[in-house]
Amino acid sequence: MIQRPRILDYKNIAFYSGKIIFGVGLLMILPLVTALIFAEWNPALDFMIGIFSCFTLGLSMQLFFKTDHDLSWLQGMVVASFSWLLAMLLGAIPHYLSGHFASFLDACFDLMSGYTTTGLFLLQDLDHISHALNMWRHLLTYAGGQGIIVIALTFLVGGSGGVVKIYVGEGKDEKLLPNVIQTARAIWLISLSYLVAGSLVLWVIALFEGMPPVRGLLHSVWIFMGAWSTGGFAPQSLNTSYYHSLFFEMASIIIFIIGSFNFALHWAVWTKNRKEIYRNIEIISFTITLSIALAITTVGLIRMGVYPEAVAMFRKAFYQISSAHTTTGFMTIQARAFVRQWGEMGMIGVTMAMAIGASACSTAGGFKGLRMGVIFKALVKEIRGILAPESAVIVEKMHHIKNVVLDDGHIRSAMLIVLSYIMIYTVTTLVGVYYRYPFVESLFDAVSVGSNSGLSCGVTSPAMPALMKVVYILAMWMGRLEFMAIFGLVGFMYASVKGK
Amino acid sequence: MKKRSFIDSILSYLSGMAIEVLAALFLSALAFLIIATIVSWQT
Repeated sequence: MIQRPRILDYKNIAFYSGKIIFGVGLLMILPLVTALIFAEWNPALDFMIGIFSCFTLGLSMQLFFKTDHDLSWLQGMVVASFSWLLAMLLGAIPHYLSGHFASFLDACFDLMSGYTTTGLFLLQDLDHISHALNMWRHLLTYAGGQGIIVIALTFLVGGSGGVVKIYVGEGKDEKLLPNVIQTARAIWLISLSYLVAGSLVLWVIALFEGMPPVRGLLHSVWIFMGAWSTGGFAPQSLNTSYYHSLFFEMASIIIFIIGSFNFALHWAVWTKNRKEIYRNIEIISFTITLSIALAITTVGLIRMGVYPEAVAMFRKAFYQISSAHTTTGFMTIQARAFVRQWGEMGMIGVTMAMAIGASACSTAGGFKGLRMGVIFKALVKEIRGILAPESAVIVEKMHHIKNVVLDDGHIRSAMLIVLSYIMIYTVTTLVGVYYRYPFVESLFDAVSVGSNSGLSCGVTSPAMPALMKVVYILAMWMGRLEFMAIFGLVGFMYASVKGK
Repeated sequence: MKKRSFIDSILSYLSGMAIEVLAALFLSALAFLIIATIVSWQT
């Protein structure tokens, strides 16, 4: 028998979701300040309306559903998934009011793309939007990368034991420190330190390349936010190819590769465990799959005769492949160049890189290196089992922060999540094919949304059917939260209707 | 004593960052090697 949720369940969920909505309102203060500094009065008004909406709803939810009960696991999962949807609807208000979107759905698409660090956009006339809107786009991808719940945990929620459940629900299940609040703060320490260092490096390069100081600084901060969060938003429609700078490209590659590392790995390397950088299974797995995807794409590109020599190939192919594998989505080629110049083999290499993605508990999406490592080790274990005598006990180990003995629980969990990703990729591709997009193109953009990458071969555009936009929004949301919280929300809704 | 441990942590964080930058550079160098090998083999 399925138990119908009690009033307390709804109250708890509404109370904690209210806190997160309030947090989204606080985030909007930065773009509002940007608008005031640059005398952008209309965007300032848009953000005031957005902040007012978030504060009104967030505070009302906290006031009307005030509770001091701890969250249960199911409630934590529902808060994580539900608050992302609410945050999308409210965060889209300044977007929609800017007049750069054909519909509110398009604005919601960009919001979900930002929060989930995907990087696809339906915004029109990107090159002429306000500084404030650009700040909001990049800030939400930066905040979404660390996790909007991590923000709420860091600044707004007290140290109750229940908050760990919404933290896990957001797809970050590693504890850097014994306490979840300390973990959230450590994540912010890492991200903010890199924000300062990375933006400075990019700013120096921007000045060296001849950009005016203020514009250079804004672009550097935005590009850093897009790269570190593996988001892929950029302030210009030409994306990072706008800068025509090898140094800028190299710096952004380094930032998004580091940004795709597991926060637990960052913390280990920063504190005591330097050797972790080359022993960690995710780094080994990432190096191997990156090399394979790069080799496939390089062979494909040579057969197409696009970039004849190694340096040009490195600059274009490695940029796109590393951007895809870290699920960033920065591009130094035009979207249609994937179809017209790269050919199907090149596109499949990029699609493979996007599907696998980077590290767990990072800002990246996709299957994740940890799960690829677990599945590979499980295969090795099976083969060793076949070759060994029947009475032998096969023990397979892997190294992730500490040595771990691989058990059936690890394998089942990794396989279930990978299977869920494959289902998302398949369903999203099918929707594209239904609307008569060619298979490889549809697969490319479907994997891009499901893995929160953000590369596009031209399928994603404001002109695509509304149903496809909705499916893409759902795929981004599910891919970012890694399914468990979504299953929790669906189960909760089912129990609300059918439970007794 | 407290000040020293703060400086120690800053130095530890900075050397951690440097190691991560080196790891990203290593991956880029490896990628260039793979590309150069395939280009010279195919042409």
